[in-house]
Amino acid sequence: MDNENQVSVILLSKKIEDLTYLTEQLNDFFKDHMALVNPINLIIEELYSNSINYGKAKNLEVKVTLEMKEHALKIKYEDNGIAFNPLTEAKQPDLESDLEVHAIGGLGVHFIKNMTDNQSYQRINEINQLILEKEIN
Amino acid sequence: MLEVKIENKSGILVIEPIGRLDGLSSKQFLEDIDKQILKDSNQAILNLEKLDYISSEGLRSILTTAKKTKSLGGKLVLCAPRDGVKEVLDISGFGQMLGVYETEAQAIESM
Repeated sequence: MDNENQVSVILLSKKIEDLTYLTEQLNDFFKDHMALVNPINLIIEELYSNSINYGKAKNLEVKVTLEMKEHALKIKYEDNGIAFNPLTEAKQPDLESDLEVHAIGGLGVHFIKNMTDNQSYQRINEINQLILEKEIN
Repeated sequence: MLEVKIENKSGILVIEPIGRLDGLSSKQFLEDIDKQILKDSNQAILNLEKLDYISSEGLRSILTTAKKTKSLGGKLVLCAPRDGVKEVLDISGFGQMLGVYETEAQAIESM
């Protein structure tokens, strides 16, 4: 890779079929780091599901910006849903209950906190902006 | 894209999802295996050897199936996940909750 940071912008709307497009774009972006495709796909799918299911935007617009730096990947996830900070407001995941009573909420954010090294959220001009950073060896 | 192979091995359903179990495919997956469990057997093994990817939507369909088999007096166990899928099972606590075996033979043995 050359010295320029590699950047990609992926736009998603309110169609779950956009997940296929997302995966194609990630396969292309991470062609030199194929091991990152699935973890990053997971992180973005979880955020995107939340945007679709809970964001309440009439015309959902999601913008994912990926930036590959020398030793880190930066993921900026933006949507125009209602103000929501997943880092503090998401449900706590149920990691221990027995099968009969096990509930599944909150897992997405749990994955994100486990699979990235830094997370920050801000609400700017009616847009939710989540910035995630993952160190790359 | 997801393809599902289901085989009845001496009364145990071996379900093999091939491809991606995500927000696009999990609903159909659930419908397919739900029917089979009602019709065939409540003892089921999910062989994950050819599953490339799973998200929490996929986990949700597995959880629903596991609850169903248990409510019918049976059970569902998992086997042979690849590294990426195994990591998701570990982080989510699902692996611990349901039981993950390294091979299908070990999973069958456990039933």
